[in-house]
Amino acid sequence: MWKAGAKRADTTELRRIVRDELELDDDDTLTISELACPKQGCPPVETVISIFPATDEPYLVRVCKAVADVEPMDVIAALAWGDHPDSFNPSSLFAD
Amino acid sequence: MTSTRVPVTVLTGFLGAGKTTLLNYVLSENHGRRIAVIENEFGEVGIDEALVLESDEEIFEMNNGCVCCTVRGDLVRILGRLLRRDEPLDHIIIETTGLADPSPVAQTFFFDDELRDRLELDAIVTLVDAKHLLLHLDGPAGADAQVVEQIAFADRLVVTKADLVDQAALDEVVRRVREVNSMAELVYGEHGKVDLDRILGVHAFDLDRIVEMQPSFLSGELEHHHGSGVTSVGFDVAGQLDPDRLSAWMEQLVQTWAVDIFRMKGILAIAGEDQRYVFQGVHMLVDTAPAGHWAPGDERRSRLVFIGRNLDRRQLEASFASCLVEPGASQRVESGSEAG
Repeated sequence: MWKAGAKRADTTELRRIVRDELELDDDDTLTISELACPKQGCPPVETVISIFPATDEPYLVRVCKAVADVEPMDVIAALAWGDHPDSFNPSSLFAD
Repeated sequence: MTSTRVPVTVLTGFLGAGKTTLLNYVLSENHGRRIAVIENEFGEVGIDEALVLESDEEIFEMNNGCVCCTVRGDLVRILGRLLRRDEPLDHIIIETTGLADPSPVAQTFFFDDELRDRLELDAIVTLVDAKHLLLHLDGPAGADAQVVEQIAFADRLVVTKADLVDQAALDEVVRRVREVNSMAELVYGEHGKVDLDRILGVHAFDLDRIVEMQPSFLSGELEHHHGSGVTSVGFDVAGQLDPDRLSAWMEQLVQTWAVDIFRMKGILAIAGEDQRYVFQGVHMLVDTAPAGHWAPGDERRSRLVFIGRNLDRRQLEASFASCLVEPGASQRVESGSEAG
């Protein structure tokens, strides 16, 4: 979301962290978006990291902060807990 | 304004409107230019020099079920691949299927900085079939939503098959198209041929194009509400905008109107800034960027246009005017009628 006087956040470092953590190669596409979804239940602002593997289904993880406020540890935590194929799924602890 | 970004033209239009015919004409008339074509219906484009890539529509939802947070995953992958090529491209053309929803296609160019920095959405070109359009707008189940949205998203509207209808029918087609989208330039095609300078390299999102927006559109003279509820709203406000109020207004705009606003464009005069700002967006994805200094003596004023469903002109304009440093300075340039 635009803020008066604010420069667009540089996402270079975030992209590097995600690529390293997920061991993405050049054929995998990565996007980073800041959303302010109007749908009920969505946070006022969130950073959505979407991964489009060259030969697999896309998936995403989210950090409930503006892009400019996202720290490396937020990304690492989101990747660990998020909705991607290699992540740890806490709901599995409670599965029957 | 010069750009080193690769221009992208999105070609839309309902089934049978003539997209493939036009695309073949574009490619045959563009010898020597390195054009990549992304299409869903592979095998219909017959120009050897063109790099043709097939794509299967893949809707990617970033938030479950919200149209504002939906992009085309297939385009993200293919565009990413094209940008990694060693040989640079002069232009990319995306031909959508006749049934494609234009929202995810357009949003693909706004949702990621890297794509936005390397690609320029040159224009969304929608073909309108003069012979059959009214059947789609006045069908027994009401207006076909996809046809209406394809018209609403357009920067250029190419009227095809005009030679198959009489002047009265053509006038009606134009009137109906204008009810939905008063902003797009109309171009007439004849037997699959159009003036290519009017649909390619048009920089529809540039400042100059926004400045050229028609006064009649901004005045509300052409504003109507019809069956689909999709219409255009524009206004022109004198004075300078308080940056904090403007930020809050944009947040509120997105929260309130994101689903119903298909497209928006504008120029902003922000207090304390020497530069004009271009404002553009698709649903909730909004981009604002400096676009050159105000000339000495220029009157500071802002100009905005919205195309969407069930838009409330009074609410949009009044809320925007409240962002002025001196709200009392707000005024409409033209005194057009308020159609309802």
